[in-house]
Amino acid sequence: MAERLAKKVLIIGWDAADWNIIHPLMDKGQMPTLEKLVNGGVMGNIATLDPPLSPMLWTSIGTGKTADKHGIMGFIEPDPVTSDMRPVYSTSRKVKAVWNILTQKGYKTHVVGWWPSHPAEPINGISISNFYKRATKPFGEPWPMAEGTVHPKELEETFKELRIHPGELTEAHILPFVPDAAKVDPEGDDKGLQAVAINLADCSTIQSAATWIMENKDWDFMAVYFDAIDHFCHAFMKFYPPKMNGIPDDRFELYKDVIKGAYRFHDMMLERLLELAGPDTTVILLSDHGFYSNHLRPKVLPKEHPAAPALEHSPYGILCMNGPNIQKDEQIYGASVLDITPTVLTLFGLPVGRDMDGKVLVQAFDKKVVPDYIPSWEEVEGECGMHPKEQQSDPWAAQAAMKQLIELGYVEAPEGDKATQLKKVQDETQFYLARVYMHAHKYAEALPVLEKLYEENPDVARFALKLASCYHILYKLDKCRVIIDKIREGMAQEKDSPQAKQLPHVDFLEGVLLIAENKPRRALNFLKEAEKSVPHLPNLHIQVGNAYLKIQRWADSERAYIKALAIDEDSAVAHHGLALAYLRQEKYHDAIEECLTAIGLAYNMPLAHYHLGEALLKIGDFERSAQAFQVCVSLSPGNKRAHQWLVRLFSNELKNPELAAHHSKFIEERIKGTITLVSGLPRSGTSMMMQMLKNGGLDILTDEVRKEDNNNPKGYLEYEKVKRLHLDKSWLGEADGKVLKIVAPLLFHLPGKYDYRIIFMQRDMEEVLRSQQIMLGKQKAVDQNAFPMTLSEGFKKQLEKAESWIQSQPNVSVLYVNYADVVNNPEEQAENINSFLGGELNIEGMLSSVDKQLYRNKANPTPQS
Amino acid sequence: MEDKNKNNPEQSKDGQKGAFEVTPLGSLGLLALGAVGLKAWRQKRAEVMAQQQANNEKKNG
Repeated sequence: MAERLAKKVLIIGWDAADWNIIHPLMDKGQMPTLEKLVNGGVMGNIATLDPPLSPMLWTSIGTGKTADKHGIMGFIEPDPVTSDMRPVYSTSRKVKAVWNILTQKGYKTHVVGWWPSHPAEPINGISISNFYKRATKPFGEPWPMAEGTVHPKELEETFKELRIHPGELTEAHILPFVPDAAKVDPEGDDKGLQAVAINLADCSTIQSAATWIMENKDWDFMAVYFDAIDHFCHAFMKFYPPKMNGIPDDRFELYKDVIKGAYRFHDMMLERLLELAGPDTTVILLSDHGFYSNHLRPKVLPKEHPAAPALEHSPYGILCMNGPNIQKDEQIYGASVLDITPTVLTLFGLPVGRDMDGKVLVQAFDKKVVPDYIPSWEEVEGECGMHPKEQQSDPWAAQAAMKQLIELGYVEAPEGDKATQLKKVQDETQFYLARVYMHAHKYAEALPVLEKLYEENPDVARFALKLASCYHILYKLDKCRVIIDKIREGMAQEKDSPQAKQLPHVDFLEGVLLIAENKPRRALNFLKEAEKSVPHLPNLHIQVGNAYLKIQRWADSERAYIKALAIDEDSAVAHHGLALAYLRQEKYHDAIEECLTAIGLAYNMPLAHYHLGEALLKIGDFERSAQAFQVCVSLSPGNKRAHQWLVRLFSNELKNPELAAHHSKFIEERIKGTITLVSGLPRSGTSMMMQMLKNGGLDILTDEVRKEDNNNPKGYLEYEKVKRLHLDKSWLGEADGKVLKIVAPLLFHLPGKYDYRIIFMQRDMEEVLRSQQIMLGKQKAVDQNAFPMTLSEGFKKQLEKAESWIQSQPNVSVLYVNYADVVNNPEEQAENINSFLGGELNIEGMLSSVDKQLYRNKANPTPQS
Repeated sequence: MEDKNKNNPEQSKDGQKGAFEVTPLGSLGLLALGAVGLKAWRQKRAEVMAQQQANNEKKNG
């Protein structure tokens, strides 16, 4: 059993808390408790998940698992019996939460207000559900508490008394938030003061219950969840300075300090919680996502979007840890909401379930911590304080069973509106599930969900766009295009429909698709069009930057990424893109800074570490360069180039032959080699392509046995052993990392042990035959255009066979290149090829290999003037 | 040993008596203090109301 690192653990959840608001307040000394907590511990960003919906996120925080596993999907669900919609229940959670695991291990565990936690679970301690705080009756009337709000039941009366009704609050509570509250007409439409009172009463109720438990009960683990910051932000962020366009001056003046007040009040509550917890407690304070507080604040939330308020959520929340064995005054990187449960288990010396999606935040500890693992906590028998099996249910499975009973005629179908609402919520739930899959890179799982949604709701642009995006990621580019075209058709027919408002998003997606299709110039046209309508669309400028990178317009890509960062300065992808743009312009110090920022925001970006290593290498900081490459290979062990750099660094500069040998051996034994092939029929332009790649900077495997001649004055760049590939493949390792020419009929003999990137040359068949006949000295046949029909058919069959083989091989990627296109439009084709091969070729060099004069055997030669 | 002062709003902050003044209108400080602050506030409010009621009764009668 691993060492226990914490005596007690207190988790405090502040929904939607964001460093962008906290930092200025801490700087002014207005959040002294949090400042102290931060200075005495570690802090950092915590990455949210998609969709950023709080019940799903807080369940992921509490379980360490994504929503497809834990089963909480969205805000509402149907009651399994009545089909009426209700808030999501704890009985719908399919897996153990950390408090269940700790209960199982005999720890005294209390949970207050977690979302969702109703009905309260029978854990080894007190559980107060998320139904606890909200006042359901006007002030002065009896205020009943929903059945199942408190566990154990005998404490119901105690906690009932600890609730605070908004109507109970006085001017002493409201004025610190809204000093000019007297100006608000209590009978008027402005409900701002009510919103302040409700949110304040809600969080004070949670505080009251949590502090009562801490004052009166023993505990090992305590989790307290406050949603008020999120609710204050949804109601008042539009009044947060700087003033947004369209906000009336008087309302801005009235409510501009509400958000700051909410944070300051949470700091006051934090002080009491920490006081009660004592110095020997490990405290984890976190939020599930951030909240846009700057120019990214949406001006309008789309009405047709059911979870539109989530558009105000930003992708990084806050994380702060403090206590014994935790580092002091340090920053941690790369944390995700999924990491909390694995980290808490490690704090208690318990193993982490391998079926959990998060990791242990080992960098938070002040000593080396090696977590223990078990396959799954779900398999561990014992009382864990979950609801009895008969109370647990999947609400949607219950609906499916109900549907069957309806179809069989045993139960009456829900009437009109209810049935429509049920279907709507079901579709939305499926949409969330697909987004969960996509966020977890489970695209194959997302695809059937999205296909079904699209089939049933072809007019819902959100579904169609997500499906197109999924097709794009799965490289089903044809299908992606079909969806995009259909969306465009629909838009053309109904110009005023909600769908038509999505046009810029369609342009954006088309741009992204064209980048995937290696058409960066055309992509830029669509991206620029999208930019006109939605200049603040997330990722737009990143994609523009990516397109410019592909065509090696480094300065333009730099500008695009800077624009992206002006929109979202916390975009790790944009910082990384900018780093690459700097790197290629030899601005190494800027590149290093940007890489470090990207890594700070999202540690798990192997390529950011790779490029950091590259930039550090260029300035001669070999030690740090090696460190960066080492992190890269730890995150992405298959990155061959990083291993190669490490071999070089440890062999030459750092004089560590053991480590050099380690990486060398790793490449040899564990990494599949990659061979670049130029293929096609003889005389289809393969030699020209070899020249282009050679002059572009790639290593060519050639023995130069076959010399240049009149037919190929720049040389053939062939390798004799290729001709015997069907008999002997043992030499193929020589081609690893290099370019090899191989005619199409020999492709089938390539062994599966390598990855192949094939540039397949295509040329008009008549031109191919003409050129071959000339090469064979059969000028007469050429003059008479008399080529054997069987030859043409035979070559066509070989090409079909090659194409079919290429499609069927998982280790083969291909770029088809038309010879005439290269000769007529060499720049665009060179860019496409460069992009296909990873974007680091010298395009000028490639262009120097294209000689229009050598395009001598055209099928329809242009008449000479 | 249990720190009894932590359950007393008038002594809880840094152990200084009077750190949170308990008034019938309440305060954010008392709310932030949680259960003990809430109880103290409600108690004070009840006392003041009872006092007022007594005064009114005295006045009227």
